[in-house]
Amino acid sequence: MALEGNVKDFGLSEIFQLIALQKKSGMLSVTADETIAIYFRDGQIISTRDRRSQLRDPLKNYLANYGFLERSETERIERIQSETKMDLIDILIREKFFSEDELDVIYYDQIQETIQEILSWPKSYYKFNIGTQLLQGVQSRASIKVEGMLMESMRRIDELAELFRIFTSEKMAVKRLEMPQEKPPKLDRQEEFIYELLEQDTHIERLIETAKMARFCTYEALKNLLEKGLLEITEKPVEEKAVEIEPKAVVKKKHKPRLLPSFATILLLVAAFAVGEYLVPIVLPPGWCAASMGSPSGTTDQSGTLLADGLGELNLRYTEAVLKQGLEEHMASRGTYPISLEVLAAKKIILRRTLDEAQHQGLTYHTTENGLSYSLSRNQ
Amino acid sequence: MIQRCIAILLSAGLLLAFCTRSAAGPVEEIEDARVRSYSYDQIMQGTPALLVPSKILYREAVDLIEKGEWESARQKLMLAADLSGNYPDPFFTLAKNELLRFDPNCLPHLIEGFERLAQNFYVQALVGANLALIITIAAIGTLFLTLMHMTLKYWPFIEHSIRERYSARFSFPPASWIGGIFLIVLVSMRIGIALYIMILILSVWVSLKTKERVVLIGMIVFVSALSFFAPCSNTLAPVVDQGSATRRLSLINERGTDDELFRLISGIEDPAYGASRDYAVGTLLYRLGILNEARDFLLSSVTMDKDFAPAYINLGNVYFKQEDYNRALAGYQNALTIDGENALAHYNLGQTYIEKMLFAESSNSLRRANELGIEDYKTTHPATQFRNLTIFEEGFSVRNLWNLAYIEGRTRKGVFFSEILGPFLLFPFHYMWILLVLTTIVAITIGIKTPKAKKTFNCENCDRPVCGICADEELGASLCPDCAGVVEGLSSVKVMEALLRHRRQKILKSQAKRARRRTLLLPGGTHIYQGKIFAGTFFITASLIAVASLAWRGFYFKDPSSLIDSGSIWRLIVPVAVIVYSYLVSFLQKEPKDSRPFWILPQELRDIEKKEHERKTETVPKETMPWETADVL
Ligand SMILES: [Zn+2]
Ligand SMILES: [Zn+2]
Repeated sequence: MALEGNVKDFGLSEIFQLIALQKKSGMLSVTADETIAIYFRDGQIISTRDRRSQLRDPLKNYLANYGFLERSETERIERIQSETKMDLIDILIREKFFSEDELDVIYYDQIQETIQEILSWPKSYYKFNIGTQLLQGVQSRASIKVEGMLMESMRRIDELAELFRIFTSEKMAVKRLEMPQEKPPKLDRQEEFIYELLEQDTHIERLIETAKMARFCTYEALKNLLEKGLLEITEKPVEEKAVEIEPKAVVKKKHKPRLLPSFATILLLVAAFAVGEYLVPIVLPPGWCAASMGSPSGTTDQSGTLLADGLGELNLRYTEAVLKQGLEEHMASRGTYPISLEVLAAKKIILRRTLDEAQHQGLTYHTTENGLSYSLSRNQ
Repeated sequence: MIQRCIAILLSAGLLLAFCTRSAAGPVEEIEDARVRSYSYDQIMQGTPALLVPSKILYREAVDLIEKGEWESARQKLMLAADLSGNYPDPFFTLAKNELLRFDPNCLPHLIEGFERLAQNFYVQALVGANLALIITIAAIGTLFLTLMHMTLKYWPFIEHSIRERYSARFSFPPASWIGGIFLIVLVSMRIGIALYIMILILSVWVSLKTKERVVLIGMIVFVSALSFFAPCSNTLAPVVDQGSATRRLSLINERGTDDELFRLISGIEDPAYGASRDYAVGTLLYRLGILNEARDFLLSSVTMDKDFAPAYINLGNVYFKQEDYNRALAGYQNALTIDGENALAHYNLGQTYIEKMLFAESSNSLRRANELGIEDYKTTHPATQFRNLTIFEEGFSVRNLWNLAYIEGRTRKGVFFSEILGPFLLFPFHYMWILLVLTTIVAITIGIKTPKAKKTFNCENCDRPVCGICADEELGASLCPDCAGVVEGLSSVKVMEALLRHRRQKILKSQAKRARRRTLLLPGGTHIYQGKIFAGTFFITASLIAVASLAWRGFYFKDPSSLIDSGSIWRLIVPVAVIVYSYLVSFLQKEPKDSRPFWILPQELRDIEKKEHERKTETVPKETMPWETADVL
């Protein structure tokens, strides 16, 4: 079941009262330029923060706008939120920005201000969805009776108009007056705090930003101070002083040498190349460089030792053995030795590769005219 | 003396022309008349086996198989196997094709093939040499490639420690170039795998985990052992060397007496092989029936080596042929005192007893010969059956030949495997163990001596390399500067945990992608990267062997009489399949689930915060909510 309509037709405070009276649970969304969600449980307000964190978070704004958090702190919290998906309240407590008691007060004040803001919207559209399931995932630190909240909001809206007549612009500057020595006026906690702040800051705008209380409360405290004669208004809004941006401390880079290591690197590369190109082949025994791999090396003539000394000789003897086998096979099947080694390759008795190898290794083949004997010699 | 021998040989050739041919069963089955007549000639020259005709038949059979005429091919293969005696290839081809046709004969044929392999010295030695070489190459290659992958894996660590020292002093060239510069320097020096292995061990050791260190040490020990025993590879050299004394002498087991063989063997002049040479020459002459000369040579052989049993047997044979049975008997008995298990000696002895009418002794000896396997001799020397021989001649036994190879190998100047591996290692392989042992000692010392502050380890959160200099230990966990920066100034453990976890996920994801690309360089790389070092080395070894066999078109040392070299398609398919499979496994290897504990910061921190939290919620009762007492109401 949904209850919806325009605020023009039916006052928002009436809606609030209706929900409270019937002790409904659910979500009331109010939309004007932006949308704010208000959660009710059994007719009491428990939160004004969207449980799916899609809408602007009034609590975060409240904390940022009134000086509870510095900008760098806000940024860090935002980063943590985006990376950890933790709730703002959780982060605030765990990171000890506030004690639980402090946060309870802030939470209450924030809801108060948000409700006040909504009620002051001249035009809006509302929609109330009923159901406790809508409250799932809502983080709440309070359960606030609607009646008191409405009354206070109305009072503030009324008084704020009066306050704006006194303090016409936020750009206005005010000046603190000395506390009279005799019979000092009694100040409440908020007034005392603002009075302290006035020692440094004189712009209303700046005061609001650092007062750690709702905007209305700041104005109210200022008005009270004014009435008690501790404040005077400097008529003209003071010229905005250009905020001095502190020049970033340029970290003086240590001057590290550049030329020497570059030179050393080039030298190293050249040296490495020289080693690979000249030194390694000189140091190594002949026939060990990768280029001459597989080709005959250190050929010794057959009359020397029976055992081949180099791998080249070994390969040569292997080729000879293959050829002799092939020739013998030809002899067995044809009755003669072939005219040339080509014949063996053509008849696939030996591989073409072997024939190439034999030519490469300088083996020459001769057969007698009748083909009954042959000679296989090395021409070297 | 040699010239005289040749003269004798030539006259013997004339004699042969008038010799009568005896019944020779399988030879009659050879269809080609020329091959048949060649076979008879060979038999008359006393060949123990008809290798060349067998090879021709084998080749014909392979052609027939290609044409699809299996039945006639099968007959030719069987004949080839019968003719050759100890040539295993026909049996392997038979078994392979029978297997493809689901013929149950494939198993016995396969077994017979392996039996021949075991008996045939030359094939045995070739297989041994190839095996030894491939194991050596695979071991060195696996060590090198595993080290390369380990370096890739731990490169960020190595680079970090370089950076830490370097960037403190210099700004140009930038620290990120250092790795590339080192790589270019190392590659352009081309100092060979041995020294590269040394450099890699030294640079990666400190970063390795214990398991990886153990495996690496295992591989180093294995390669060192191979290197230490590398001089033994010289025994294999005479086997694969077609001109070596051993190989020449072993030919009398394969061929009949012909000019060339006679010349080859008589050409051996080294006195170290004198007994064997004279024995071989005597045997060749005996085959031709030139008995007096044969006797002289064999006598000379036994004078040179009194413990050479085969010479006594063949000497006995010469006396037997000369009908000098007493001397024949003495010869066989001499052989038996040296080698009592010699079936041939017993058999020939039995035959001599028959001639001397000593039938009891004869049957005794013949029974003993049967027990010791005289039938095996007949199958491995098929050509001897084609002639009606009463007594059989001995060749070189496998043991004799290994012995000869050992003796001959020792005369080699270099180390055989060192020569083969030299162009790759650029370092004598037989001294590589010294290099490896020293390198390992230095590496271990560096590992122990490096102070903890200079050691590089993983950030406990994001795995990025950190060292004692830059790590942040404030929170009880070693974090890299970036991770520490993320949680700087925070006090809640829960928030810090959440932030760290977020960062970890982000970093690991990007890292995994980069690692993936890097590790696909070689098969097995992914496994090593993920710490599965055994699987990694296995795939590296397998693909290395496959690549080697592709490069060599089979084996490194080839048999000149082998037909297999002529290119079976399987020689290509199997290695390629192994390589493809290894790559595929590497490629499909999934990133292991992050097994690290969910919590990053130490337990105690969390406990403290939990307690604090509980205490607070207890002390704030619901009733005293501030707004209920606040004066605004
Ligand atoms: Zn980190
Ligand atoms: Zn560091």
